[in-house]
Amino acid sequence: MRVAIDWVFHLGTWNLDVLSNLLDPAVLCFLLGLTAGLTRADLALPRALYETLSVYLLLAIGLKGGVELARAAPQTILLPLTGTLVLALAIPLVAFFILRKIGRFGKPDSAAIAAHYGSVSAVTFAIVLEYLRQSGRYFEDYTAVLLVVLEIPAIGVGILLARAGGSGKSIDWKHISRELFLGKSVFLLLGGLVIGAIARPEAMETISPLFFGLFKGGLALFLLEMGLLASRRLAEVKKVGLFLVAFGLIMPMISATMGIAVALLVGLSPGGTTVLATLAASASYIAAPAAMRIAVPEANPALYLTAALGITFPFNVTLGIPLYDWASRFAHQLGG
Amino acid sequence: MTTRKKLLTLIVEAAIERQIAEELGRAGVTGFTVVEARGAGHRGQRRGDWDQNRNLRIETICDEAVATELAERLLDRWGENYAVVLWLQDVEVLRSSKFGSSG
Repeated sequence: MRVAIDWVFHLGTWNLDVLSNLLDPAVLCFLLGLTAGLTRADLALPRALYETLSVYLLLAIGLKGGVELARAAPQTILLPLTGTLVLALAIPLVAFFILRKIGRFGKPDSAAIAAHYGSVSAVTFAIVLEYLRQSGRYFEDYTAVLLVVLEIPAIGVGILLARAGGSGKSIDWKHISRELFLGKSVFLLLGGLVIGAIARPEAMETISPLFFGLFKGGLALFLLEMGLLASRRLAEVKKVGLFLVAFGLIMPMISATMGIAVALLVGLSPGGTTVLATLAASASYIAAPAAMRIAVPEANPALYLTAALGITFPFNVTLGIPLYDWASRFAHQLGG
Repeated sequence: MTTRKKLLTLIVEAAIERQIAEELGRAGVTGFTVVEARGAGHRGQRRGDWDQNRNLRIETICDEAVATELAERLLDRWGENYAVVLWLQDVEVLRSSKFGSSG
């Protein structure tokens, strides 16, 4: 009974959180881009701006994570890191199973989509951190490390799933590992982490107005572009079928639940739990598409791009993050 | 004054730019030119607005034997699963030694 009352009370707070999240200017910019694309408004941002902003955001996320990481005690990271690794391997397996057995997708498509859902979106990560910071909530200093750890392993799992027990075609590891480790997302996130962690703090101050002070503004502009890109993927939804749409909405909730379970097991704070749940729920649209196009050429890009960018990303940005935060707090209340 | 050579033009998705460049190198072409492209075809629209949506136009001039063998190898390796359109044209070049050894 007590649990039921708590649950109803919490459901109410989720509604409020959704509303306040939707009225965040960066989220509104995303909706503006989405509207512009759907109404075919005369709005197109140059690709150079998209590239510039993604480099800026990835580096800024890395730098900020590095500064925070320098404050964290190394021994506290080990357990969450291990849990996150397990998550990175488990999510693509679950996704693959659902796509293959229930969705009846072919092996290459299932594996490629599974890799996207196991990997993460750094921008979704940045949004959840802003979400928590705005309400002054605590989360662990080393969450950026968890982001980096989640990025690659799932893509490896996806490649192995696509190739397992099948075609004798050899895997082009040379080009794939280049895409993975030297792709811009991992390279900039890791590079930023290292710089942020080892740079002299007083010298970091000199670049903080650009990378930290203006970050939310850059994020808003990037989200405007993401809205445009998502709207174009939405136009493809008819072609990918209803199952994938449902998958794009339900899979993040399954992953978030797994994320919350792992977070509780490794002892993250409620804020940290929200971050890990959101990381688990997010789907990659920078590192994974680039790697899967090379590694699993027979998979149809329209499927994984539409699911990750057209369905899951908009869901996470608008409704998902408040939902995962609500679930995390609820789980902690039950546990504590 | 001029020499007849083959112009090989490729329209390919940007994902395989590096691999195509390596293939051209292995075939022994002496140079090539890459420009960004936009358009639409069998694999949908390529607006060129982000990484996964970019198209390239790659051109190289070489001897006929090199060009036809290269075209076949490119189609064989990439034609099935990637957006690839390619064609050959006769061209008259000056300074033929810039485009490969013979003739």
